[in-house]
Amino acid sequence: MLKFLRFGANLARSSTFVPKQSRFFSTPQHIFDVNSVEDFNEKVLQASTPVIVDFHAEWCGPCQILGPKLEEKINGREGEIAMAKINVDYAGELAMDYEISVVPTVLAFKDGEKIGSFTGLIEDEQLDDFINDAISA
Amino acid sequence: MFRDFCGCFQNLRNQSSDDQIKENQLSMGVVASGMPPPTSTRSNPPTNGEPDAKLAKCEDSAPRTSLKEALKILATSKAAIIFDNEDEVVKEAVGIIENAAKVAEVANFEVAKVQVDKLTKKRIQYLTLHDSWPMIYVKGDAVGGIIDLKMLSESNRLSEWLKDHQYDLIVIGGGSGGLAAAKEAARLGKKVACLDFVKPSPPGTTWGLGGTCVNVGCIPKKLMHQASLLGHSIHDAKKFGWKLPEGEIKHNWGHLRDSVQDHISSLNWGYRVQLREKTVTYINSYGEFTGPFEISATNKKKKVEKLTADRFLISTGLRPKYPEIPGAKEYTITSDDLFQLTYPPGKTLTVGASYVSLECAGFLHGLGFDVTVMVRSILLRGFDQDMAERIRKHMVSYGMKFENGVPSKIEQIEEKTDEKAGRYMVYWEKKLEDGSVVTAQEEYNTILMAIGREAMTDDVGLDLAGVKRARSKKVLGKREQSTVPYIYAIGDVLEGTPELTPVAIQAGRVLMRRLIEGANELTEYDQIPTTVFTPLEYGCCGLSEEDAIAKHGKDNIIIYHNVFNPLEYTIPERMDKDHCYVKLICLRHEEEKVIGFHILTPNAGEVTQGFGIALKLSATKADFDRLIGIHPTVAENFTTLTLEKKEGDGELQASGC
Repeated sequence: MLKFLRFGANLARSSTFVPKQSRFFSTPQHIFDVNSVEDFNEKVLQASTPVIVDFHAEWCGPCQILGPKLEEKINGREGEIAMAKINVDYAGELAMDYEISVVPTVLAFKDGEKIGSFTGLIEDEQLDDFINDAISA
Repeated sequence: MFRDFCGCFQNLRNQSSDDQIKENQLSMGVVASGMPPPTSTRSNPPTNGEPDAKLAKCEDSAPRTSLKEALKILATSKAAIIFDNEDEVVKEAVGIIENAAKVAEVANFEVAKVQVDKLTKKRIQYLTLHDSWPMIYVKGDAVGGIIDLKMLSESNRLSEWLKDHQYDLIVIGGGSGGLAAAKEAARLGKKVACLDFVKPSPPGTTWGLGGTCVNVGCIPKKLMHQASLLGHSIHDAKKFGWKLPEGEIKHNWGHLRDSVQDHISSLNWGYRVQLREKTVTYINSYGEFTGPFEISATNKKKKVEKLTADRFLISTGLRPKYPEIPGAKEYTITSDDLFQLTYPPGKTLTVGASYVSLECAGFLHGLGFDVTVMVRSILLRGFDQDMAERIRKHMVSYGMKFENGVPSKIEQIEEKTDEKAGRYMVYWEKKLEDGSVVTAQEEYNTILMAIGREAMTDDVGLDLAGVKRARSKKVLGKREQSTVPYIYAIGDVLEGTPELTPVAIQAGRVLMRRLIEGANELTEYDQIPTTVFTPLEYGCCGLSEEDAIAKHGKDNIIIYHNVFNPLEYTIPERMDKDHCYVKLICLRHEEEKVIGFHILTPNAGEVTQGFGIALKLSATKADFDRLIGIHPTVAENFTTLTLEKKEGDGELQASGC
């Protein structure tokens, strides 16, 4: 497991999915970073579509694997659902507000309400189910 | 169901223990806020922990309250007085406190009276180091005698104290000690805030929650030490038959730094989560006393928040010192910066003979950098000097350079960038063998100042609060209690105690149990095992030779020692093998009780931690002798010591098996 974590962290450094950098990449509008409570209120709680929120950290190997996977899947949903990326080291308050104790933790929001959550890496099928549930909730 | 695939910092929460904590909070809340008046006596035996049954109304003929009960009452009453005979002083003290309570408009207030026997009195005086008697407690803090109480009362602090405050405890400094104390206090049901704020170092380095050890001390240091040891293992591996690719084996500084910093970030996060789970309020602000019971907390955006509490804990720790020479603050770095250095340090000078200097020099050399250590005089002041000299010899054989002197000036030749170290000229007065002094100079890429650390107590408002400090700027304490009865200090910032993370953690926990529950417990600040992670590690516990002689006299100690050759070093023919050494310092009488334990060896930390318990249990040389060794290990050398160290003996030579 440790080896796996380390692999993930190395992957993060060598890939373009380092959260710090991703802000400067032209990601679609429905995938965005959130760093403050105000931002969260506006882009997640008041969003017109469901939003899944990925609490992640640069030092967390599994996050580096889950993040890109999630982005790919959200991109495939053509705007039906959005994704907010929250780096817990930059937005500690938000992480504390939502009682995040493990990264990655993914929450799903619709109409300002939390409608689902999972922690850690999960199988592709489960990911699809999670996104489907969020859209159809 | 998704938890099977664990993420980072999986926190296994135990529901039942959470419930337990909540229960504690409830019951403690009741005890703390509304202690009923003392009505019952010991002849009316206490039942199922009802608070009023715990209090003894003492008459001359009444049986005395037991130590355990007395400590509990003192810790949990709003105010209490402890005495052996109820005399005029007791009455006067009660009057003063009740008056103050009236001023403070505290309702249903009564002073708990605790009558104890001579033995209990002695123990409580020992626990608090207060010798005034009868003794007064306010909100669980030992105030002292009637004179101390009068002083508090006259300055109006007593009535201020008796008023309600926002928090039960504010901890200033979220390092090892502060966090441990904050969490322990919260576990015991107290409302706690923990302030942590890192002022950037002169080069601008800053870090997260957790203090020195986690961010710029033990943790990154040991990881980099390990990186350095691994470099040697690669070379050893060849001798053990591993076929390695031809060519130079290189180390990548940036990769190591990132891996180390990733680990630290995960620890920072973990601490944050723990604080929330233990219901400690974490405030990322700089705390400063602006009133007897008021802290002003300033955050990054300069927003100031005022907080009040019944009790305060100063755990602000130490930061590196800079010498007062031209160029020091502009061009040098310290251990605050090294572990985040964006560029490989290159040719490095470490200044100072502290363990910080030697450890950093050691791992940098192991990573392949050209390293010089500049010292004024002896290495590792306060440590056993025979061992310190052995460390120096080992480091010299290892290829590290030593210079005697103190830098007088540092000039920049080329500015550093994020990618590349700068170039600096260091000047110092060098004493030649004939006694003459010349100004020497040498160019380095990185200069690491490790000449000592100073207490972070200047900007905490301690003078305003009335907390007295030693010349070292550390807080003077009776045990961990400062000169202000409701302000405590632990860890590196407390005068006269060892500057070690586990000491601070222990002190924080034990202090909170003593203050909140009335635990009959003290932190033992002696016989603390510790290890200096120089390339060849040095572990010790108990006294140095110098201290043993000073304390017991030369004729009253006997020293056993030996050199040894770790088996792992034989095949690779490591030069380190000639430097491994063990030493036991014993009292000549008292059945040769072991009072000092010293070892220079790989993995000294692991060895010393285990043997530390032997010293705690007052082991004698005979106990070490009847212990059977584990063969082949380095630690087994302690079970077979027969050689007595005598003055004038030549160097010991390791022999074969």
